Amino acid sequence: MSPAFSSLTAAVVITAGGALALNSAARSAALAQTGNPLTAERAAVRPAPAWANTSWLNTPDDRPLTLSGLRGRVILLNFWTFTCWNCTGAIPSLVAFDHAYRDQGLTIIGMHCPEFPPYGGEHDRENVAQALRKYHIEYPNAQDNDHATWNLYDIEYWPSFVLIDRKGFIRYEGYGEFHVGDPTHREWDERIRTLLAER
Amino acid sequence: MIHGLRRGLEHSAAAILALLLSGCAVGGGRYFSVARERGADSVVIHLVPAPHVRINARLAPVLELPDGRVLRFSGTALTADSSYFTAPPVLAVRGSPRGMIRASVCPEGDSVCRVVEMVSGER
Repeated sequence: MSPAFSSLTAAVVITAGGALALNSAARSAALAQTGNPLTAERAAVRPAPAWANTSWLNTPDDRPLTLSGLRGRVILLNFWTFTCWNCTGAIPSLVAFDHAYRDQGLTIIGMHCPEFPPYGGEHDRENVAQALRKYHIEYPNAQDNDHATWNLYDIEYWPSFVLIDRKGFIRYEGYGEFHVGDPTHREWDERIRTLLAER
Repeated sequence: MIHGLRRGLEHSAAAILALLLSGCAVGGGRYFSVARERGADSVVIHLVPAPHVRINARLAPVLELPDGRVLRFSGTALTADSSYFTAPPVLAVRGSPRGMIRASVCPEGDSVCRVVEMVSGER
């Protein structure tokens, strides 16, 4: 027998870590129309804001990395969380980029941004460390439990990506899962190589 | 008497309108809607995803109660990789189901996840 359902009074509020971006409607529209996350990227080149995360993993003695300290390197920021399948699905691509380009000047940084409040377990450093081991992530990761860097970069979705050139300027942004060998992976690969070639 | 009947009809119409409006708020939710099934001593809440929306099973939806308790939805019907619910996750609540429902949803084709919050009422 089918249960008799009745609706709950409800109001829906869409959130993304509390961040409300001014251009979210435009980006969502582009995403909905094209189905291709990369077409919704922002094109404007602008200085990358400096993050101030204090909890780091996969760095020497877990010391923080700074934007100024990485000047001269190409940086790929990946905003993710281990509970997000779209995020973990993209990790093999990032691991491949790390192996291919770290020695040529690429630094990948995982910005681990929880989806849920602390009761979800995403804020726990050991859980993040366990995820890094599980997915064979050797590149640096920062815990962004308060979403400070997420908000600083105006991020809305998991996963998101920001590519910063050697001079500290944001050159490419996008979001959405991709996989080794697919067109989006090749597009990011091309962008990374383009920035690495710049001096 | 006629005046009373008219007042009653007006109230009924207002109630129906309010019901429809609240129903639109739920059913019009872009990512999921909520239904409840009243049992003998509890209310079972069903989280029903909109078409082409997947609810993250790795980070199961929760109901945050005003007293600070957090209750998790559950379900046994999952995708082969245990990533998403394939049937609406459910939660049995004793007492009032009022609170904040929070879920991680990943619409098919978007390749991204986002968090959706829904304030659930008493009705």
